[in-house]
Amino acid sequence: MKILIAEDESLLLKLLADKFSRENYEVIACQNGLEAIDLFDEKSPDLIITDLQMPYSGGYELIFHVRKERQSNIPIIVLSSTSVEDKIVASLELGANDFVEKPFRFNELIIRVRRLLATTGK
Amino acid sequence: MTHYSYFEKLIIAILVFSVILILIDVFIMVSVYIDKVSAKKIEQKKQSIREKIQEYISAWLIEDDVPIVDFMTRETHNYFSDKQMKDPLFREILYEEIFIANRVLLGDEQMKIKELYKYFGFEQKIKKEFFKYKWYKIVNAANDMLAIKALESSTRFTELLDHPNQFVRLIAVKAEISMGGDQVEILSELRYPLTDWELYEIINFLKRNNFKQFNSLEKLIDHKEPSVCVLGLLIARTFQELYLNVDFMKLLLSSNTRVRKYAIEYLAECGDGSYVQILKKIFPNQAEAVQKAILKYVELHGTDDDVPFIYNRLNDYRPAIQLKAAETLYNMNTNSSGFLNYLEHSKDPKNQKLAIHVLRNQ
Repeated sequence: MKILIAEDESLLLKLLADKFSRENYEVIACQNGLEAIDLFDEKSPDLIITDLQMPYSGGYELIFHVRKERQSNIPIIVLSSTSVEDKIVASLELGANDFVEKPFRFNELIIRVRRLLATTGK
Repeated sequence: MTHYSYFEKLIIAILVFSVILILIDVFIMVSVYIDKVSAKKIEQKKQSIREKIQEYISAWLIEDDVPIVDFMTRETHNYFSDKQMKDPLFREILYEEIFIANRVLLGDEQMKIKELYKYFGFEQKIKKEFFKYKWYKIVNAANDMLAIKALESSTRFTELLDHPNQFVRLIAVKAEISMGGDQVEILSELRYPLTDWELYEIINFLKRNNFKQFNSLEKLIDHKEPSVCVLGLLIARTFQELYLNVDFMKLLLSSNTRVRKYAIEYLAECGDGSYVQILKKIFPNQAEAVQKAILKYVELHGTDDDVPFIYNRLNDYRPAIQLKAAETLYNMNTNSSGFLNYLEHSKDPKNQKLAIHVLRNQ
């Protein structure tokens, strides 16, 4: 099972990658939205975890690309520090399936990932 | 002895001056180059330290049930040698990375990060900084203490509530709120007025940390300092505290505009319709912001009987009030939107414009 993780904070990206690798997922990691868009097209992941604010291009652009341009319905989890309701609503409206606010618990994130993958039959 | 003419002397002087200028240029260029090379080297060194530290923090967080001393003294993990720890650059990056991890994680992982703070002696360093004189050192240390939840120095935080610097006061307020118990009681002891920025920060802090225990809200709302009263009203509205034992009439007649405005906004969202008549009565002498709040209140609690009052506001000399009145008419839970249709077809071009604007934007 492949998970694409887009997160600009290098430490958090490393933590997420290590944690999900240990959970036997194949992790595709990147630090900005542009790279994430390329990796999505190239590697066809089963789920995406993305931050909203990243250099060059953010999480919104990635969600837009996946949902509108590629018409894909793979699960997307937004992992962001924003507590502004508008941003949460905007990302969900664009097509994200779930929103996890930073700071967060790893166990909670892992359960959400499993649940989303299960609901999509993967 | 050679004698030079004036012209020759001038040429020699120019040549000597040019050589000196060229030497200075070369010196500057070499310095800039060396500086760039060394900056690049430092950056590379930083990056390499950062990657190594991230690897260890990640490995530590993934480990299950291993005491930190055992983990750190394992041969493979013996990266944090005494020599390394004495390097200021290494310590700075280590501190930064631990701080970032602490900021984004909760639960078991955050507890493990707190162990790192203790293991590397950062907690002692933070506490030492906390008692310094300079305001920014206090704020930084207090922020770190909040982040690692090391809030034992409660008397110091209480003292800081009266600090002349607003950044220090704000962090002290956040710390006091975080200490548990009735989370807003301490705010009733504030002596300095709170700025809008501080109000915003406190409300956001309460929201972010999911604080909900507000037994002393009445104490805040009754406070003689208007900004503390406004904070109480804002908390009450944000967290939908519906049962408050407060004399709202006193607030509606307060000499402070913001107190009146926030009291009306609270009543609009959390109260009933019992203040419609008094608000209509005090409407003419109010500031624009208060009048808008009154119109919002009537929009949510008014009846058909209040429609003529709103209708009169369409003739106000200020466009903002005219527009708010038209929106109120449209949104009122009565058959008042019929008024907007009426306005749209009325012969007064101003009313037509208002109605069309509201209809288009709602």
